[in-house]
Amino acid sequence: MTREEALAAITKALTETVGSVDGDVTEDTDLVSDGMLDSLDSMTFLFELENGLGTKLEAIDETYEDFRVGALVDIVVQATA
Amino acid sequence: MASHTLEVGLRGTRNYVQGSQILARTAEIVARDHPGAVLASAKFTRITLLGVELVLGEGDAPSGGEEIGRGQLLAGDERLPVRWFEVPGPEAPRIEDVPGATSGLAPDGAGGGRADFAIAGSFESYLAAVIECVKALHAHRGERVSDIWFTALVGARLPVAPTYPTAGSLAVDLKIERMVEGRLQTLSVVETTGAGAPPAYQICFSCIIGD
Repeated sequence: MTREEALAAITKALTETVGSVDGDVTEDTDLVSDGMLDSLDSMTFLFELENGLGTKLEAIDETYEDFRVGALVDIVVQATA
Repeated sequence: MASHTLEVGLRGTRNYVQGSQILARTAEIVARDHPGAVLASAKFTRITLLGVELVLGEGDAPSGGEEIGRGQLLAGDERLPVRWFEVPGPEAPRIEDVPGATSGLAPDGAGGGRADFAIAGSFESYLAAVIECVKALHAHRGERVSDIWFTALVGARLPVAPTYPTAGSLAVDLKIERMVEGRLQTLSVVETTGAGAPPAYQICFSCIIGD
């Protein structure tokens, strides 16, 4: 999966979690600190992302805290390589 | 916007009003105008031992209480947003506890598992059985687990009408775990079997691990 495809998958999971997204989602966006996801939403987002990809993202364990989109793109690209 | 004070109580020895009570009383009110409605999602951001006010639509609670959660029901194509607020004032009244509704709990060793249930077939009895089952599975984890709270339902289509199977089984598949501010938050997928069972949905809990 390319970075663009990974970004599209992340945006889709985000939209399915919160319904609609105000503004653009870029690799510089931080989904939590920019207020798009709270802690409960973040679990639904990860579930939707893994479901959409059809794979478990092993790099995201219970202690994972980095919700910068660029970091998530890295993980998705690596997991789908 | 319309608001209703919900008839909720502190059941048994609990020091909080159960989310299942809040959802069930909400369902009863919504079912008066929308008998075919389904609960799509609910999220509780805090617990309360006081009264609870339901607000249908947007807007703040007339009582001026703090928001404790929000949800969404669907009536056909119509979306029905709801919010719940704590009612400033005395504690909710004490009410009698009810017997457990699940049996044959079988943890899968990965945070999920299954159990059988026998219930009255109402929305509240079904929710109570699901929460009892998932709580029990959390308590069977290897670590010392305490303070297990039901926090959210997502991606659900749970009828507000009493159309639930009176007997069946629940399969709980743990999908996501996260440590947030010292609490473990979990997301599991619940599948129900039995006549008239609702489709699978996600349920979230929060608990404390260790001392």
